[in-house]
Amino acid sequence: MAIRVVLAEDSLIVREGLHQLLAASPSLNVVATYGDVESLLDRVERDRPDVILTDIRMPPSNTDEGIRLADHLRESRPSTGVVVLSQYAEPPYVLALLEHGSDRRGYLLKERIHDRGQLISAIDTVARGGSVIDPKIVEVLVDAKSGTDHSPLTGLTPREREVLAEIAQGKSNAAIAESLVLTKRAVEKHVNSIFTKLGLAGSRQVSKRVKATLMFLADSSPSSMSAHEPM
Amino acid sequence: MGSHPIPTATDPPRIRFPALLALTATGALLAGVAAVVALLGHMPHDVSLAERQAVTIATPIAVGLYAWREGTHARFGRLLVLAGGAWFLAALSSSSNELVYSIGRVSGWTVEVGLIYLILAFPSGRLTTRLDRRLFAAALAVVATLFVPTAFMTDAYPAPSQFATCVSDCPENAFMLLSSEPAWVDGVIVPLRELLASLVLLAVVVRLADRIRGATRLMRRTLAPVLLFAILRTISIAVSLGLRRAGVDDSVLAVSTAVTELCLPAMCIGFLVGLLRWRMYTADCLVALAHGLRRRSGPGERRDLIAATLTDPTVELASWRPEGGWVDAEGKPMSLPPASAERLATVIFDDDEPVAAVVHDAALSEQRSFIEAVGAYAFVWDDNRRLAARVESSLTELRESRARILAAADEERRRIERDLHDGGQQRLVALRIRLELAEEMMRQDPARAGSMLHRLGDDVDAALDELRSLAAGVYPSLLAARGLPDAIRTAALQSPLPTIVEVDGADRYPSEIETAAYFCCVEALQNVAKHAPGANTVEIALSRNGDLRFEVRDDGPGFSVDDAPGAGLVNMRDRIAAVGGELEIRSSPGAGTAVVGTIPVGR
Repeated sequence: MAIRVVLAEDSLIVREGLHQLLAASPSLNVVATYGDVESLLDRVERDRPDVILTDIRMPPSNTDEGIRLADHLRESRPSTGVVVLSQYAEPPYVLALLEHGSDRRGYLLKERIHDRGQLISAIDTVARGGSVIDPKIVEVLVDAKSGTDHSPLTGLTPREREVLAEIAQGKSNAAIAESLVLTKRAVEKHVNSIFTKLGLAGSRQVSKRVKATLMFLADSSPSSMSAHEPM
Repeated sequence: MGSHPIPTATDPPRIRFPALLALTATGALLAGVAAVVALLGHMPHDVSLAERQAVTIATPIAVGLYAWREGTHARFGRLLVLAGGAWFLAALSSSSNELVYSIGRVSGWTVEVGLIYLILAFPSGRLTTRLDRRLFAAALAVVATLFVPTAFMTDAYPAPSQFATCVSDCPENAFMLLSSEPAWVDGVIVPLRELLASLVLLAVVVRLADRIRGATRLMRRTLAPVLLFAILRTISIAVSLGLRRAGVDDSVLAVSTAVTELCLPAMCIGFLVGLLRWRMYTADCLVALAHGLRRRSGPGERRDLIAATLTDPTVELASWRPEGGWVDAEGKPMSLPPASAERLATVIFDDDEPVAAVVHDAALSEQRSFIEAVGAYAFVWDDNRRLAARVESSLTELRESRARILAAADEERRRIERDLHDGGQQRLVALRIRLELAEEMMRQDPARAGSMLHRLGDDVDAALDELRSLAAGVYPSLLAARGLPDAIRTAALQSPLPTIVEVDGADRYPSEIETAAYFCCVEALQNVAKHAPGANTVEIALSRNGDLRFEVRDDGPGFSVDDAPGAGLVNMRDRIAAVGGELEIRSSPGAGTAVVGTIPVGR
């Protein structure tokens, strides 16, 4: 059954472009498009979307309406996924999006839009309860984290660092195995090793570990080896 | 400076209005009672006696209250009011009742002593020199030995006197203890004491004249009326005593005693005139001083002005530092000389805090209150001038800071224009050209055209990247969306040096404050990368403790803060100052650098 998608994007050009891009896919059904959050919320009961694809920056404040929409829907429609399209590669936005849980949430940079395949794959993952984090953001975080001699990432092997990046993007073990050309067993071993070395306690569940990993990477306080909250 | 320019730390306080009212009523009452006593006494000329008594009591109380209220010579005023009370007792001499009359007569002896004290202590209310104290002691001695004991030994008091007009039919002495009066009382004691009393009075007058001779202009004006009336009174007393002894006609005696009595209120008028002249002279001097201060500018000239006003060329000025200690006109530390026969220091207070001091010739010791007034005036002026200068320089600094901020803003705009041109426009132009080429290629070799178009996608990505970081540099949306902590953490990520961010209580603030703090931190961070080779880590601390505080610390080589600040540092300071905060840069060679900003955020 096709995934019901609703688009929210205030720029007419981009909105139409997206619509065209997605409409061609048989696995998606774009049921409505909106130019602002309010009109989307007005009709959301009627639209019953599985995934909402929204720009982060919408009127009236043009700051982070998209994230606030996601938060709101976490309460009112927990089964609806949200993929936020953003021009900001800054980690705090991603962490804000995942604050109330990382399942059914995705954060992609707008430049990803042209790649139909990636976009559809992200919508698909989110619809099935997973998380998708743009690799560019993970790259920024990993680079910053591994910059120093005392970086906690120095304990990881290069392979483990690759796996860490994949984890942060929200991929499941199977997806990581496919992406890095490894066996699932090998991936699992690496994942356990990583979590142990970094002292990340808590759930190894895919949707939950995204947040834990991202928070770990984004942490710039002096005690970076401290364990984060499991959620 | 305090609310009134004339300080009162050294003088007793001036009388308050309710007490003033009460004492005035009391004075009027006493005058009335004395008049009534005189009328009931049935002495000769009782009506004019009653009038005289009333005047004699009312005048010192009135003048005394005036001086007490005016404040500068409050101590003298109090003494004068007290004297009025004593003279009321003396006025009881006009009673026909033996006891009352006797009390009055004995009290009458204290009148002289009290008056001598007043004359010697005018206008300060204190006996300052040894000679004055000795004269007063002499007067006391004469009264104590030759007057008071006779109260128990004499049948009748000498008549007539200032306060009692009776001549032959006066009441008898109620304090008589002996059965009869010894002959030597009237024969030896009384003439002796009259002589001695006259001599003491004369000595007081001479002393007063001498004082005037060696006094400053101000004191001469103040003391002259007192001397005049003192001379008149002394002559009058001497004449009365002489006439009484000579046994002249009653009517003549009546006139001479009346005149003598009236010399008492006259002396009080003399005091009043002296006090008024003091005030007028002081006011004139202060007005002239004001004119002079307005014209002159430097501290040397101020000293000259004060020296001229006080007519003492040896005047030195000292200021009190808030942190303690005296400094001279150039700011060098000094100490006040101890009180000596040559020099004195008069300290000017403001609400019990010392502010300034005038070191002057000891000869001016009589006019301390004048010196205080002059000093206070001059220093108030100075204070005002200093404040005005500070305001002026603050305004100048403000103007310059604003100009710098505007210039910086223009510079920013130019930079943005440049970046947009180089990064944005140029790239898009190049893109356009390649699209054109791709279109041509389409016709020739579609496969190659396809890969060209694919590469164009990368070019667009690069342009997007560049525009995105440009936009973040112009204004980071993250700051507005999520506030300082997140924005600074993100900036820290992008720094080439490992940067640790600690946040303690800072959250959201008005956007101009967040912007100022953010860009300062970013600039400080960039400075570390640019100018601190060898730095290993940077720490950024954000905290809120009443004020918003940010600190960017590095462990680099440091620099000397005494060197002129670069344009970047000036820019940071201006930004922070514009939102009411302060920027501090702590560094020394070899000790790293810390850029600390504090911005008050109210509530």
